[in-house]
Amino acid sequence: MNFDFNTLLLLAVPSFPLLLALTLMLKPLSKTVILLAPWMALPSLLVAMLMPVDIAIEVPWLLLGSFVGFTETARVLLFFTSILWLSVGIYALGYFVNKEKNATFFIWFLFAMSGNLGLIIAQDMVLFYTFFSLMSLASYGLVVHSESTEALRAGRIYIILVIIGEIILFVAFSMMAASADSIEFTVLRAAFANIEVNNLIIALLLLGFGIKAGIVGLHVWLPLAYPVAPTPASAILSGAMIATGLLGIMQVLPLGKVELPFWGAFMMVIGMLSTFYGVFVGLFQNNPKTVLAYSSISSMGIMIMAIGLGLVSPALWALVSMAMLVYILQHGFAKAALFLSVGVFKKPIASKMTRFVFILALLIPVLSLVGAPLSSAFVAKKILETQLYASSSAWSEWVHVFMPWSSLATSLLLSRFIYLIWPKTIKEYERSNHEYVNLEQDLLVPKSMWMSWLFLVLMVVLSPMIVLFLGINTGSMVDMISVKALVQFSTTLGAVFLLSYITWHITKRHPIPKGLKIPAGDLLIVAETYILPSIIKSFTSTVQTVQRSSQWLVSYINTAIDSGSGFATRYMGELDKKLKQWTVAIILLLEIMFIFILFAWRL
Amino acid sequence: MNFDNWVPLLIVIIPLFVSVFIFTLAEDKTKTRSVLNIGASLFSLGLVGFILWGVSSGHHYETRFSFLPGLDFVLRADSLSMLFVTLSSALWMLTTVYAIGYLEGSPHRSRFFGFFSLCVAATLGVALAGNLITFLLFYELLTLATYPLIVHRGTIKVRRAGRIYLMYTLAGGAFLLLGTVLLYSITGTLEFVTGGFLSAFDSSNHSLLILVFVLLMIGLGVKAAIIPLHGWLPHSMVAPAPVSSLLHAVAVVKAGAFGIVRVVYDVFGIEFSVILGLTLPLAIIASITIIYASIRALFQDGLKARLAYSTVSQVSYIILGVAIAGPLAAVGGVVHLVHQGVTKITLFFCAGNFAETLGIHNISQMHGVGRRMPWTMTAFTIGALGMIGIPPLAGFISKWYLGLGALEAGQAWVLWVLAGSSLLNAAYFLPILYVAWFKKPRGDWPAEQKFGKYETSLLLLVPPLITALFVVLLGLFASLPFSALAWSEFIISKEFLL
Repeated sequence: MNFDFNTLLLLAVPSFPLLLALTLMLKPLSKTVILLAPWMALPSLLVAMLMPVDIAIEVPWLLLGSFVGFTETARVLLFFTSILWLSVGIYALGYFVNKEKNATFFIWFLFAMSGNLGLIIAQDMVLFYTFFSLMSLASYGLVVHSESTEALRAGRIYIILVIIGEIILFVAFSMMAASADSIEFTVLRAAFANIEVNNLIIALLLLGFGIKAGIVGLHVWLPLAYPVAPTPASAILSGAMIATGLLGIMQVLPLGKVELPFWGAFMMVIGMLSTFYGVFVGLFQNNPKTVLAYSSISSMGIMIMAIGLGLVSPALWALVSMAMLVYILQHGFAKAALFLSVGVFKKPIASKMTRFVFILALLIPVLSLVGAPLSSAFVAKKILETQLYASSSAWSEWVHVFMPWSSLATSLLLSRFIYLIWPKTIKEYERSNHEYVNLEQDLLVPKSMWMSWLFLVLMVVLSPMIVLFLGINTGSMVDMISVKALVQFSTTLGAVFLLSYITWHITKRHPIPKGLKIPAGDLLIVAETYILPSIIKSFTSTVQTVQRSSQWLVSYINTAIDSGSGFATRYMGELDKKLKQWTVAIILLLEIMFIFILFAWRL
Repeated sequence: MNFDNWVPLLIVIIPLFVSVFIFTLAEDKTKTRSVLNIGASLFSLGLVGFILWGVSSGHHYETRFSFLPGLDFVLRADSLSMLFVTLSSALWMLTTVYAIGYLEGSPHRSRFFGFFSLCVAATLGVALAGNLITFLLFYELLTLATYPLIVHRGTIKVRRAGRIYLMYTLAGGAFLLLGTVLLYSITGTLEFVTGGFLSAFDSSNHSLLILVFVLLMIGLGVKAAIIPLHGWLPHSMVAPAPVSSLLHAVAVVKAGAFGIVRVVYDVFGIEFSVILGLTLPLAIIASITIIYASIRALFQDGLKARLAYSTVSQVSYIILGVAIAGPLAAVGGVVHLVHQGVTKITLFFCAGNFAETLGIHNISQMHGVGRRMPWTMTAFTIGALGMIGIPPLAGFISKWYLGLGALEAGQAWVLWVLAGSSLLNAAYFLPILYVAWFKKPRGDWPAEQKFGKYETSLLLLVPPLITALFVVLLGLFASLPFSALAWSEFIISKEFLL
């Protein structure tokens, strides 16, 4: 066993949170242990910042022979994932300070953290699958934490889809491992061209990972689960864990080296569909967290589209992947910041001035997601556009058209969010609720909550620099700030502002009719009301028919045996009685003797 | 005869001797009985360790007596038998501890432990048998030894269950005898030979050999609970929990599966079985059993009933692994002998804990059990997740190898059977976990007993925790040289001459 420092450090990444979780299970009342929880992400942060890239270390004694390691993609993901877990953890400490069962929350939190961090450094499919399962199963506990009816229902949908996804991934992984004769990701990617039943495997992978990433059609658990989970849990689900679906696809498919026109086109279409579908349904929602959930579906749609682009034109992949990483990084910070702001904005704000500052701080992640100049989204989109300009594929036209519309759509959705989350000042709150607010009560937001929120907002601002620090060269900064870009952006914003104001004005006078509301979980409701009951009914009736016929068969056999044995008993009884009569016995005996003598004489 | 020749016999004789001695003990001599039981099982475990060390350094352990004209009584310690013997001995020890705790204050304990040890002796004999006739002898002894355990409580319902059990297993035994006799009359030998001895014979009598195979499979399939021969298993749930645990994890059901492994590998040989066209029907029957039993499990409210159907389903994984004629699948099947045993015994131990401590027999009574008995419920959770096949637990390793083996042998449909069965496993295990951990208790427990400081008696608590730990370790460290997986790979490498 070769225990060098790199191995130890990499193994510490998932082990620290795991060990603390186990400790917390044994000592649930220990405040110190709970306070340590967010800091368990520190080893992984250190690894992300300091460890050299392109390490693959074999750990032969673990599972079926594992590999842990570090690629450039992993580095970016690990970095922002660790920071997210750290800041959200600190937020959670403040969020739960007066609530009971915070130990339970942090146990699930730590298990999910371990899974999330572990799967990023896993370089073989079995270890990846292990941590992926850990993360998904632990998130169940996060979703159902409040134990309300909606939370339990959302949890049930979530776990069903998680299990289905797990099993689909098992089948896909087995097929790949059998063809490539290895479980290591690098070997798998290299052998991908030789793998048979490619199409089936890719379909299964898309299904399995798509559930996690929220591709439209498989997304139905997201808008149910994100709102019911406690705010810090929603933040980490949408910021960090949703990206693991993408990571899975990127680890297995040799993007940039293989051209899959059908699947690339498919993913681009699905991605675009997700983007607009998410916005469309999100606009009809009343809960700000549900709006954010649909916004995540929309953002992931853009990412899926980017992967599709990489499959259609592999030559572009190097830069497309860079754009993707840049976008995922900032999306993670921004989305988490938006979720955390929901918790911060719940309480009334001290004065109009404070509210103005808070709204400004809120606008930063919003604008970054929409694609303001100097934001990573802008950088990402710029890279995509310049590359597509160079390529001659028909898709470039599509993406050119798509990009600005997606920005418009995102801004519409996020303006709905701002509208829903608009906090009241204390005066407005008192006026509308006819009660006085006692400032000494716990109506004020705990320090850890708004500090971690602002920290994440800061990270959003710093994202371009972080991206450079992590070694992704996005070209000159000056290019980013061109007049054309600013003009384009301002027009978009202006259009959105106008549209929002008009909508707000109209709906104040004429509210949206109730029938027009789309409940969260959209397609699921259709399935639950119409399709599922009939499936379940036919299934149970089939099983009951089989059971009844087998029972009939068994009882028939039993009756047959009974009557047979009854007959035999009677017959034997009769025979026995006869044999008991002396005469019969003696005659039989004489016959036997006679036969015996006959045989002996013959011999 | 030197010492090497006595050792296998010694392993079987020890529990036999213990059994006879316990029968003579008065009912109130609890301490003597416990000491004898645990002492004997520990000694036996040590002896097993000694044999393992001996085998690895090249010793050859075989007991051979002349028994019938032309047939010997043979006990041999080869790699496959040692796998089963180690599993049986280790679980015997844990079940003894558990049974002592479980039957505290019950009547007729001497009778119970007497037959219990007899049952263990029979299992070890089945494991060590070196030819089919010795196997048959101990197989039938197992039937007779387990019947009194099942009907231990003596009520009418229990006696009926015992009668059903006897009907099935004695009928199965008749088939087994028939098959053995037929085989002997064709070939004149019954010795287990790695790679099978039938292929060396004149292969013109294929139809007769197929008949032999079918007869043997029916005989073994009753104990291994293949559909449609499984009917006795759900009824035998009326037995006390230690009996269910041992029966379903180690003794009876495993003996059947083990017998099938022996017949396919060491009598027919895997290549010959393929030539005879026997493997595909076996695989199909095993698959049907897996799916059908899982579906039946979905509709059970009784905890032990659900676990019983789960056993029926899981044991067929072993048969499936054998029937897919490829080395990887074979490894998966053989290693599942161990993994399923350890995981299932955890679940049954926990079920017994719930019944004994809180009077819980149905899943609908299990609301909030996680809060009242967290350690037991944690062990149950680990067992349930292991059955579903979540890594890094042991069940995942077996399924992974079965899946890879199926693909390697060109039988991709098996992969979908595995997927469907995992889905069904999740469907009937996860609701139990949900109800226990996330729901509040519905009032008082049916029949609560207090056991002092801990949630239940230590004798009842420690065995499932140990086995749950093994479920984790067997999976997490599967690639270490002394894991069950490494051992299975060793066995199969001999079998497939790799």
